[in-house]
Formats: sequence, C-alpha cells, structure tokens
Amino acid sequence: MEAIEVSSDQNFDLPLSRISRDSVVKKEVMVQERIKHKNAVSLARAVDLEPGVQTTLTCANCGSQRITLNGLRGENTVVLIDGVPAFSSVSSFYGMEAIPMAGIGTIEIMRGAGSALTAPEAIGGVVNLVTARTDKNSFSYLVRGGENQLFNQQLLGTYGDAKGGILIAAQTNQMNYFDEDGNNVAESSKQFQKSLFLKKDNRFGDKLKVSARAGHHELELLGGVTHSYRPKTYPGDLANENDFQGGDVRNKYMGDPSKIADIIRLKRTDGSGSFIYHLNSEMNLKGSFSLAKQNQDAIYSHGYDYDNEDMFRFLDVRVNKLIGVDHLVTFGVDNRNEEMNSSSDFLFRMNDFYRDSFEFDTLGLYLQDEWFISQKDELNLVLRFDRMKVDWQDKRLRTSKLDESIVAPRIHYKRIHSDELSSRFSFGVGYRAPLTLFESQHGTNEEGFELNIKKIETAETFTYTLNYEAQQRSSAFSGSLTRLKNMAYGDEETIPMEFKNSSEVMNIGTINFLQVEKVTPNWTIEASFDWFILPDSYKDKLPIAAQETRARLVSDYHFGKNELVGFLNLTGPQNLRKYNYHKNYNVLREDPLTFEDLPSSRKSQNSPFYYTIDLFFNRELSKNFNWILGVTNLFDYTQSKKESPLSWRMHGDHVHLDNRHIWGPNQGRVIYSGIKAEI
Amino acid sequence: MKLIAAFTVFISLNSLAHIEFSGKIKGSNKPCSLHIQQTYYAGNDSNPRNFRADVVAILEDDHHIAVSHAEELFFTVSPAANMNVLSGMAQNKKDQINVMRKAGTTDLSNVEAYAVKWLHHNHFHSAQCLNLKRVKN
Repeated sequence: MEAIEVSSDQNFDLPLSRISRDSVVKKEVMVQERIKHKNAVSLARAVDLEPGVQTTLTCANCGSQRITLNGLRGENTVVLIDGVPAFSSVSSFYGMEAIPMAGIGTIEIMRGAGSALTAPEAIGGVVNLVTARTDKNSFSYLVRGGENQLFNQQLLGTYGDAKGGILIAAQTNQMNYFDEDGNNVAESSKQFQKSLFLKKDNRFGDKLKVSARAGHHELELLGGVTHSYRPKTYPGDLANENDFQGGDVRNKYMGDPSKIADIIRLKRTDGSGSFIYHLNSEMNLKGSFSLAKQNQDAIYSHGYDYDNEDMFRFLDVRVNKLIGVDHLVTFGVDNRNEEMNSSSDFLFRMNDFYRDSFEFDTLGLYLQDEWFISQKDELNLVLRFDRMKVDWQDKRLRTSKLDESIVAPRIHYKRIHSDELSSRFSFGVGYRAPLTLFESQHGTNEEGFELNIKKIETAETFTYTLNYEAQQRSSAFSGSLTRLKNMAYGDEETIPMEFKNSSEVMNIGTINFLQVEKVTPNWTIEASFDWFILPDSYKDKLPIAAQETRARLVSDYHFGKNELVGFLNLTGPQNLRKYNYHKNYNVLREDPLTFEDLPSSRKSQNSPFYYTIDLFFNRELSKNFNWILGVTNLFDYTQSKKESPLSWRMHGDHVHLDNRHIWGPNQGRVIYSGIKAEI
Repeated sequence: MKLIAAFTVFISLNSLAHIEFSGKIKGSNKPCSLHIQQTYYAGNDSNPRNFRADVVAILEDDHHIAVSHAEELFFTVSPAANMNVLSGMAQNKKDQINVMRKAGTTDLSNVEAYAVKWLHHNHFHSAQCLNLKRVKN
C-alpha cells in the first residue's frame, strides 16, 4: 500500500540512470543535487536538457519559457506539485519561471500521453515537483551572486519528526537583461522573482495522514529595453524601419523605448491539501485538492496591454484496494475547473476586439488496476472517462462552446528480463481542450483573434524503454511515437489570427539514449542523445524552432572535500525554414511611391552546430558550510553574437518587428559564487 | 469578411466633377476604386503645380476574417516632385495616398493607379490599386 503515496524522500536509492526502479510507468527523477549543479533557480531552468525535455524561449522580449516533453508543445506539459495538478495552460505560459526551486526535494519527469492518472491533458507528459520532507529538523540558506547582476537567495527550514512537521521555503532571484549584439534591444529579459511557501504534514495514528501547502510567488519580466525604463502604457504605434539605422535590426535601435519594451508582472497564490486514510489493511481512501489564483499584468511592445486573472481548482477523491495479492485497484473521481478573465484597454475597450475569457470544467472518472503478474511482469491498466466543457464568454466568437466526452485507455507494462535488464512498454491516450490563443501566444494579438476550435486535441503515445542497470554502469534507450490529432494553433496567415484545429494527424517521434558510467567510486560520467522527429506540418505551427538533435556529456568528480561537475551541451544544425523563419528579414525599407514594405536580407535559414559548457565547483568548508563557484555558458556562446533574434516579420500584407528568430542561447556567460549554510 | 477602407479628399474650392475609376488590388485581385469628387487650383492659379483634388479610395480587404470598422479619412493631394504623382496626407498625419496619373496629363481625368497606406489600430497597412479604368463621369 505504500506505493500509492507520493514519496517526498529526496535521498532514496536511485539507479545510475535515475529511472525509478519500482515504477511501472517510466519515471525519470532529478535530485536536488542536480538542480544545484545546473545553477537552476526555476523549474524551467532545472529541467532543461534532461532527456526528452526542452525549455524553449518562445519570445526573446516577453521572456516566456515553455517546458516541452517528447517534442510536444508547452501547453501539452502538465506540472504537478506533490502529485496534484497545480497549473493551467494559461498560468504555465509565464509561470514556469515563477516556480522556485527552494523547498523542492526532487523533480519527477514522466513522458508521454497518459503518464499520470489525474492529468489526461498531459499529451507531452508530466513534471511532478516533490516538495522536501518535513520529518526532520533542518535549516539551509544559500546565497549566490554573479555577473549580470545575478543574485539568488534560497532559504529552507523544516521542523518535525515521523508524526509530522512543517516546512518553510523562500526564494528571491534576479538577473539582468542580455544584449549580446549591442543593438540596444535585449535578447533576454531582465527578471525579478520572489516566492514563499509553507507546508505542514501530520500523521494521526497509523490511519490518517494529512498534508497542506500554501505559497505566494511574484515574477516580473522586463524585456526588450536595455536600461531600467518601465513602460506605463502601451505604445501608440509600432516600431518601424526609421527606428533602426538603415532600417536594419542589426544596427542600433534609436526609437522610443516603449516600442520595444515588454513588461509582464505575475502574482500567484496557491494552496493544496491531501489526506490518506487507511480504512483497513487492504483499503484506503485518498483525497486531494488544489487552488491557484494567478494575475498577469502586461504591456507588450506590439502595442497593447493585456491583463488576466486565472483561477484554477482541482479536486480528486479515490479509493485504493488490494484484491488478493496481485491486484491493487484504484477508482476515483476528479474535477478540474479553470476560469480566466482578461481585460485590456487597447484590445477590448478601444477596439472592441473579441475577449478570450473562458470557463473550463471537466469531470473525470477513472479505474486503475496495478497487476503484479509475476516477479518479472507488472501491468498497469487504466480506463478514464472525461466530460469536458468550455464556455467562451464572448458570444461574438465563431465558437463559443465545446462539450465533449471521451473514454480513454492506458496500458503500462514492465518486464524484468534479468537482474540488470528490463523493458517498459506503454500506450496512452491524452486529450486536452484548447482554451485560448494564450497557450502559444502572449495574450491575444494587436489585431485581436478569432476562435474556430471545434474539437479537443487528442493524442496516442506509444513508448518503449530498454533499461540496463548494473553497479558501475547504466544504459537506457527509449523511443516514442505520439500521434497528435486536432492540434490547436494560431493561424498567422489570417488577420486577426484565427485559433483553430489542424485537420492533419502529426506523427511526432522521439529517440533518447542515456549512458552512465561510474568510472571510479568518485567519478561518474554521463552521455545522452536526443533526437526529436517532427513532421513539417507540425514545425510550421510552432512559435519558434525546436531543437531536433542534441547530445550532452556530464562529468561529476569528487576529490577530497571538493566536487567538480561539468556539462557539455551539443546541439545539431537544422533547417529553420520549416519553422516559418523564411518570413524573417534583417532590413526593411518602404517604397516611397507604393508604400510597399520591402524587406531584404533574409535571416539565416539554417542554424549551425553549437555547444555550450557549464561548470560547477563545490568545496565543503566545514560540516555546515559549502562554497560554490560556477559558470554557465563558459565560452559565452550566444546566437545573438552571430545573429540577432530580432527580425522584420512578414504578416499578411504588412511587416512588423518581432523577436522570435530564435535558434540558440541568448544568455551569455555568467560566473557566480555563493555560500550554502546547512544545519 | 471584408474591410472597407474609404479615403476621401476634402474639397475647398471650384468643384469640377465626380469621376470614378475601378481596378484590382495588387496581390489579391480584389476590387478597388477611386472616386474623384472635385478638382481645383489653389489660389485660382491654373499653374499645374497648383492642381488639387479630393478623392475617395475604396478597398476590399483580403486578409481580415472578422468585420472591422470602416475608416473614412480626409486628404488634400497635390503634385509631387514627379508631376505624374499626386500625393496627400490625411488629417491624422499618418495615412498617405499617392495617385499615379497618365504621363503628360495635368489633371485627374486619366488615372492609372494609386497606393494608400493607413494606420490600422497601431500599425500600418498598405495597398496598391492597379489597372484603373474610368467607369463613371
């Protein structure tokens, strides 16, 4: 019965591959040490470059970071906190940068549709944040500072024992903008983030365990501008060719800073709770809920303001019952409700564009059987039923309601071939109601939007994993195929942009290989390779180019009281034209007679092979103090030193300034140092 | 769905005629037209440099999928450095029009094409109306 509880143990015995041994569902686990080695202060940065995971910057100005799994888009990734859904597709657009790493024990990544019982919309997969344990007394404080005004503080305190305890975690973080090409337009936004969260666990006898969590997070992203200018209102008109010397985005920007400034402020307050009650030795009852309110206040350089309030509620009740010795059966019901209300002076008051406010409600019933067939075979069967209802509030929209029911199966099978070798096969169905253009665009659009969503997105994922685990080495090979149907996307060829379903079936493949070798007791090396196989019809609907091939080498060496970790990240070349980058130009001029926009000097249509190196050094000064020294992007490799992400982009019959010609890193080298105190 | 953008030229003196030309928008081949409402000479001086005209340009938009509001803007056009072109700017100091007349003519009795640029919300659109043919005197 223990297997049904979410573990918050951050020190459990993980194999070298970090693929959880016990789980029939393939679960890749990131421990706190790995997060520290990556100098990651947010979820978006912590999981980037892990097998099958990409964190993509969807616009250089607005600083939106999306976590993509198995090549699927950010809106297809579901984030759970302690196994409970906590983010909506709207709140995750900027929210991934707002999720602090202070107080997080481990991060579990489960890729593929149907990888979590309570998250059917996780077409790409699930990222589960497991908060730190409360059953011990501890205190830690980490302070880091570095180049580019990096300043990060993380505080974590726990007080408790086996009967329960309390956790308090707080974090502040700031990082300045990067303008590596010196054209007075930043390629990476300035960020300020602060958060606080509390958790309380209690055990009442042997039968009842109760847990509650509450948090508050604030984030400010200031993009585009290269000084402390903060726009107070949206610009009256957009940047044009006269704002750059010679109309060339590679030259200095000379115009009004409000025309290139994006400012996004988020405030998020969330809470969750769960209980597990053991009815008898063979049956227990489990319940959980989650509430989150997130407010966004934004001004975009595209000439509009956009605010929203997103309310997210989740409730789950289930019964787990052992039947015989071979079957653990779970049946339950869950309800997810999201309400998003937007406001904009420019979009809705002045121009009377359609509002994107909506209410989403889904009721799910599920039945799961974990069948321990033999010592070598384990099967997990799930059947889910969901009824999804979306009500878009603006009845002028072409579509204003969606009401669909779906029944979906899921199968996970684990076969242990020998002590070292095991296989996992899974087939899962995921489905998601597309809710707003916000999922892939920031806000609506300066020309409004039209909604033509008639179907829910559905996906089937087939995954096979072969895992070899020995004392000194580990290998994991996995391949997956996701068949995505009714993909929702914003059609850039229409004005206003139309949010609609694609009629094509997209076959999205992923191949991963991971090899870990313990060369000596003190030295571990790791090599991994990812290949994302994306169809052209899918690529041209993505907001920015995905990485298609990449590899990574990691070396972790302990000597004396020191630890040295190095990351070598390699990214393969790729054709950018498929991602609609052929619409991007460096130079714009206007024909004085015909007023025709004449863009020229098309931006690169092929990205080069590149690599980046990150280093981390830790010295144990005493039992309670550690000194940290690190560098991210050691050789200061950035795309913008070769090519600015800024471009003149063709859109219908006109051309506008955009900051989405992104194919490489846009943050330069940062050397940092810090102290961690632990009691 | 269509957007109708209407451009009118303000007439101050010496109304002459209402002439209408129709043509096709470059790229989309959708219909467009030009209504010349009045022509006159500034200061009553018939020097070709003093020629002025008021026009209405009507365009069917070819991209918009939702109905937008029609815009009506006022111009005063006058000969540019190239005498074959008459240029004007709207009262909002943003919208512009260039009317191309047949080489050698000094009035707007024979117009070949025009180009307009107008501010739509917070960004500019432009269009060219080509192959204009006189349909109404």
